[in-house]
Amino acid sequence: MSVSTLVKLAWAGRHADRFRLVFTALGAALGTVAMLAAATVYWLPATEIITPLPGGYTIEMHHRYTSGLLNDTAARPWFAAFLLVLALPALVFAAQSARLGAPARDRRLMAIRLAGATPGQLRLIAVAETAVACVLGALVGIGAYFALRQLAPGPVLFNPDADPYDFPGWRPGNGLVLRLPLPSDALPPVWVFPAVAVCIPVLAAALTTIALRRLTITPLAVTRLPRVRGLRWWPLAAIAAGFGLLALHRILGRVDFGDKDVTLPLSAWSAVILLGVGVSLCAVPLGQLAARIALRHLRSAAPQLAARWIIADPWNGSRSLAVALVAVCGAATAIEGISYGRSIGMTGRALNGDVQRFGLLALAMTLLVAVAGLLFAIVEGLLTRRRALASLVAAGAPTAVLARAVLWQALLPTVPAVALAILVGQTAIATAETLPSPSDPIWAQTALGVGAIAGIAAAASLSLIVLRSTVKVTELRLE
Amino acid sequence: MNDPVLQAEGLVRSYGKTQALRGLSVTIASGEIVAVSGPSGCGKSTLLHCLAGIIVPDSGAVRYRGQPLGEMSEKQRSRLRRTSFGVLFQFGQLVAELPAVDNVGLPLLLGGYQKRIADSKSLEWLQRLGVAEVASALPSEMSGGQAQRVALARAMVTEPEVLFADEPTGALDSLAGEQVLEVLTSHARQRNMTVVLVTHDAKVAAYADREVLLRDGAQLAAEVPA
Ligand SMILES: Nc1ncnc2c1ncn2[C@@H]1O[C@H](COP(=O)(O)OP(=O)(O)OP(=O)(O)O)[C@@H](O)[C@H]1O
Ligand SMILES: [Mg+2]
Repeated sequence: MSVSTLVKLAWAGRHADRFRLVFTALGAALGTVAMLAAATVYWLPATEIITPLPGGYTIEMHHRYTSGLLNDTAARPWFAAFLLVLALPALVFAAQSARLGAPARDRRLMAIRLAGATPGQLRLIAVAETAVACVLGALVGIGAYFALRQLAPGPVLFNPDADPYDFPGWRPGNGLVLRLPLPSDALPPVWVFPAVAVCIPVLAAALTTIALRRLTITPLAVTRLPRVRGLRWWPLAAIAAGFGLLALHRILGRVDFGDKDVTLPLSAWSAVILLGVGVSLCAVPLGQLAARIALRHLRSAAPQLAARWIIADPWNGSRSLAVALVAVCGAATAIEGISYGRSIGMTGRALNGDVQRFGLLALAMTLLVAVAGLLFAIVEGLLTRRRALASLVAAGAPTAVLARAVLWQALLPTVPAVALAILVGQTAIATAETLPSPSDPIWAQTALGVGAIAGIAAAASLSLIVLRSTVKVTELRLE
Repeated sequence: MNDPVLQAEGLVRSYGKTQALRGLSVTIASGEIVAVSGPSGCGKSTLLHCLAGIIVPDSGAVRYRGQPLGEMSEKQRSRLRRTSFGVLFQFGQLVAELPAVDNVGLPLLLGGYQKRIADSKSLEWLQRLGVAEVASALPSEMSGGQAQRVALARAMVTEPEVLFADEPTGALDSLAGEQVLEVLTSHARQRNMTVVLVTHDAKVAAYADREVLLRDGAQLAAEVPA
């Protein structure tokens, strides 16, 4: 297939397809901004600078930013890595958008398949579509990054004494200093920009391939692969390995490797990634298990329908979104705990409240992105099933029962997954910390989990608006 | 004629500028199998949806056993459809993720039956309609004719008083279509069930007791006995 044919077929769509492309690009743009922010923080210069004061005076500053998180050179790589993790849900969102309006595209692809294309070529069309949208999104993201730099607030007067943890040992007599709230004065190396512009579409295309993996497009009908067999619990091994690494990290923490050492961040980060991946992959068998239990014990129509939906399609978008969410919750918990423990253990001082503030802000944004993606996934599921749903309503099924089924479907896999994430996060903190400390109390984690579940429930409820129009009898007329 | 089950009077229903039904009246007696036929676009499906209370006509009234459907709330009409009516469409009405036995048992679950009872009734009907062998198959694993008989089992499992079927054999080859019509009419007659059968196929209409011919949203001629 020639490139021009590929592009033509990928662009042959209509209204819903435009929507999909816009949202895919939006996800890519968000991911780009997150990655560039991470790079900026990582490559912040370590030197001191002279900042002019109003009235022609100058002051020598050891610390340029209002946030201790940015000033503490030891904390920067952690913070950068945290921002990098935030790119993940944005990319999952982009890949998720590839399924938005997919029934229409699938039908179009089916017609192309009838005309003799191979399944591989079809998937290539869908992936190419995502990649093109992501290239555009990445460019927009780079533009947005520079725009944000311009819009970032200038230096503000700041009182270091207000923050006892800021830099002990340095107490200016005159109190107020000038500080930047954001690192708008620094840029990452130039090569980072093309690297991100390539990285984003490639990652998004890879994620899209996964999102479309279970879809086989036959000439006659779009069918998902049939039955799923036993539960796969091997992700538990990843979690176990993560804890093993954390224990190792704790031992390594007693050894002094010097200032520029990478052993500690590396061991902690590998552990966090293993834990995050383990928790996210566990969400699938957990969801399946919950669905099977519901199938056996909750015998009314709504949970029965929901359980069957979950079992039929374990990697359904809604769950993969929940998975991303869980990964981030778990990772954030662990990062916070580890960096906290590390800063106490290594340098004897705690990072200030900015960790919490940034963490909360980032988590809130992640939650928002994840919930939006989840909403798409649910709506797509409803649209795909509209014919069967409309005929159920015609046969007298109350819409309320279907609405409950949608809620069950969203919550059955998420509740146990979030619970697991919290459990793993808490245990990770306990394993990694080198000093006992009143880090995050369990209620904060629980609040986070409850918030995540509430967000998912809210997305599911919002999707119910679409339910009303999907179950109209006119759907029975459509092919 | 027996006592009327459904009476429609002066039904008018438009979609934008298209008038799908223009003052149509029809009476259907208990235990009768009525074929509604006519060319494509003449308003057959619209009539069926009005009679089954799935949509409400712009004017005119449908009475089920003397009760006007138009005066019921959507909730009450849902309940009526669930308990007293069965519906069968051309294709694609089964829930793709449910095996046959659960698809058929679904209306019973919705009606508050226990799962165990729903399962056994469902199996009973699958057996009766000759598709017990696909009881645990998903719709995508069935032939078109099997899927349609499973859908018929789902429409019959609540033992409805009236069965509405919109081109139930439209997507099947003639042999499979005949089999479906055969089981549909024989079970309906055994149970004295009323059937409204929409079709544009004269061969299908021949299974009915009576044929109502539509043209452009109105009844064409005097009703012809089939
Ligand atoms: N939702 C709708 N929006 C606009 N027009 C509609 C809609 N539904 C039906 N119509 C129009 O109303 C008329 C009657 O439609 P209806 O589906 O009842 O015909 P039918 O006799 O069932 O046709 P067929 O045999 O092709 O199924 C047609 O002209 C159709 O175009
Ligand atoms: Mg029709």
